[in-house]
Amino acid sequence: MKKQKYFAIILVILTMAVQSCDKIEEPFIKEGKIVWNGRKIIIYDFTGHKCGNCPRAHETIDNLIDIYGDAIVPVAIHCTSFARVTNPDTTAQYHYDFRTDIGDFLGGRDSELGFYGELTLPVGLVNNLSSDVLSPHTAWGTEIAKIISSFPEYLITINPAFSSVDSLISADIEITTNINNNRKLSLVVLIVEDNIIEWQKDYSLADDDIENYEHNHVLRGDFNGNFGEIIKDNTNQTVNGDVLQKSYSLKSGSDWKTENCSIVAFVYDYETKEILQAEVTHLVE
Amino acid sequence: MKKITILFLGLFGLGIFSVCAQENNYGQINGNFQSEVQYYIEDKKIGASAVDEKLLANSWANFTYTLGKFSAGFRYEGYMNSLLGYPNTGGRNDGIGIPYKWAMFSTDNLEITVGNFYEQFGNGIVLRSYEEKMLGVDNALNGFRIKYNPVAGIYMKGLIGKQRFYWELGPGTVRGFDTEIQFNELFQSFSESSLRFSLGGSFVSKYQKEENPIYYLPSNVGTGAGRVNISYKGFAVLSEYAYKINDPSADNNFIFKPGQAFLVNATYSQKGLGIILGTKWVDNMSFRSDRNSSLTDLNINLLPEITRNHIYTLPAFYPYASQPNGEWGAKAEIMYKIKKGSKLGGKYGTTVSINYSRVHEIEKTQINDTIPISAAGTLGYNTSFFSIGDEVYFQDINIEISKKWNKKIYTNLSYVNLLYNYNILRGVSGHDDVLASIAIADMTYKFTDVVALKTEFQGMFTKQDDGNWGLGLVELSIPNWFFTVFDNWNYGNPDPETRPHYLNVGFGYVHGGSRIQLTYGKQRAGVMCIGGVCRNVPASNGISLSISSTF
Repeated sequence: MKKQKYFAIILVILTMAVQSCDKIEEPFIKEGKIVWNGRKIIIYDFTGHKCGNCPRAHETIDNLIDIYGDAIVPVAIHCTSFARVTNPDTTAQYHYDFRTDIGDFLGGRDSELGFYGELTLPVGLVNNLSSDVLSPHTAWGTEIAKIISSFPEYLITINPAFSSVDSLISADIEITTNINNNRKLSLVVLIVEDNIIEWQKDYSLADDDIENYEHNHVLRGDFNGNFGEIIKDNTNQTVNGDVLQKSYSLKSGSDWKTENCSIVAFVYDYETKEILQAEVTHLVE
Repeated sequence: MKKITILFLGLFGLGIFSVCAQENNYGQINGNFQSEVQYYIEDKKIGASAVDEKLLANSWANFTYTLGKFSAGFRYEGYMNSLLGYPNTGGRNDGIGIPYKWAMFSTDNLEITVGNFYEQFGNGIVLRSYEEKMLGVDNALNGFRIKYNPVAGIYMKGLIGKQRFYWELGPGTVRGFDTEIQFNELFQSFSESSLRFSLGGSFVSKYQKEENPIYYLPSNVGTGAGRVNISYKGFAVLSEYAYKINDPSADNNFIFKPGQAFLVNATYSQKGLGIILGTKWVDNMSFRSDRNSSLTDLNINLLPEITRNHIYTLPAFYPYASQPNGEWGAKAEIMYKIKKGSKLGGKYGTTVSINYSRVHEIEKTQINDTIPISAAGTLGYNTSFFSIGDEVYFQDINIEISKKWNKKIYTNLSYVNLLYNYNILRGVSGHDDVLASIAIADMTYKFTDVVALKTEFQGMFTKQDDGNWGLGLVELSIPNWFFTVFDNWNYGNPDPETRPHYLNVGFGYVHGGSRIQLTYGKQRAGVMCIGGVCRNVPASNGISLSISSTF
């Protein structure tokens, strides 16, 4: 009788355990509505043209753009040994050099580690510059879902210009405060380029060397440093309607197609590294 | 931090008590310490880089205090900063602190643990929480565990906790329950029987909040397993089957297909003979407490390996990595000791061991004509239980003959033949399968009972990957000291300009429970696997220091 009692207890516990499962029936894909108040999300996508798993992260970004549209501002940072150019001959595979000084600093160059240490590509940052929140591309959607509906503390306007005479790109940035705050605020201004057709490794394909891969959101350079410029200290309060203005310029690279370039600007809390608002504007309309 | 300090001082104080007043039975403290330090030197020829810190160190020490039915302990760890190659994305493993601390109360039939603990249910296919410092794996649970034996022959365990994620905890909660019934203990009439029989059952569930914008994901995912163990005299059969409900994750590309795993091992042993036969079949059984994790992070289960874990350097170049998304494997091993005094056995006998293992993909078919296999947001694919696909992942045939010739000479000769599916096992594409033959001659000559010279010669012959390798090792052991020199030479690299030597020289001192070893040398880039779990090993050049002590 005593043994039967224990068998009964085991049975009850197992029954409880089996009940603690969520069986999902089709459809598995959501088609819900999203509440969006204008907050834009930066994704730093650490990638490389020789990284065969990195196209999965690019697909994730495409899926997120399908869902959230212009709210997603990706920046593809080619770095680590996966961005290495072994043969610069233009007829050779992977001859094109996507690397930048800021990309080398953040992600590392060849076997030299960058600011974010040892990176296992693809990996990224979603709306935060802290190394603590580096995450795989499969987690980016969840990270975005947590913040996409929040009200933006700032609005950013970018007025770009390009002089073909001296190849100078300039960007006038206006940051308008939406909520009174005492944040120590930093501004980062970058330039990215879409539609670069070059080699890319893709392990999902039998022939994994893709010659005409479309590289988008490729980081080309920075206007104001690897982590931007502090534009407001936490001793100064900004109130609703206050406008901060900054202007920067940068010489275009010889191989940049300016018609495919865009200026990316974002502000982040210097203390928490949280990105508070972002904007992207085509260099040439 | 304040709590940690109090705990540390408390245990330290109790330790002093134990030393000063052992007669009063204030309990006792024991533990161990280990530190692995490496000074890095750049060597572009082998792809080894230097680090800004010049040297890196992984160190840890365990302290356990025991007083009667009560015990408690902690592990102080420091990664300043983490050695290269250990999981450390974004520097998240760097730091110093006490990530592992626990207290336990146990009586004859009850054990309660609070804090951190390791646990395994059955063979580990639904739950195995463990640490392996060589891999940088530590998925300790932090929570509560109760073990209870209500009557002789019934063993119950229950637990709830969150898993360690470097210096933090993972986002998911793990709940589990396991029961094992030993019939020979439970029923007196079977207690003396040669037939031993036990049944076990486990259930593990994880909870992770569902916040995905694309998929309807299950917050609660459960997996259950049942096992049967039977033995009769020299025969034993151990088997376990596990089933997991839909668990879309980064590992399986967010498919909603259930998972299954089955394994069985049969053994026979008698004096001088041992036979092991085993097989396993796994489909979609990755199980982590964070659906977005990858690599070695936050695994709840561990699928037991079926292939041999080679300890010699060259066959370990191509180790098997478990494939939780689908694999079938089988193994057979025979160990036979040729009798002493026979022609082949000689004065001390000769041991011959033959081991064979082979792993294939499982058969997967499309769920319909329009959805490719493993497409995200679908049921993924169809498969039949125990189906075997055509693609070979791994094969290992090896034979080892060990013989003691006389009181001074001992030899161990091995031959290993490997087939290594580079693309699948390294997660890349475009590489040929590696077919390698490896011969090893290992000889030890004992000058006296405490002075010995060990030599090792290994040769690996392959036309794929980096081509042929050779290795020569000499190690002299004298009382308390040992001196080692070995060279690992990639003499057959297809690129004649890239045929580096990886020379290592080192010595060590051993005294009681303490050991210190200093080595200078180079290490090739590759992977290292233990139990089917792997990490990358970067090329390195430099000085390494290893210190360990138990007390």
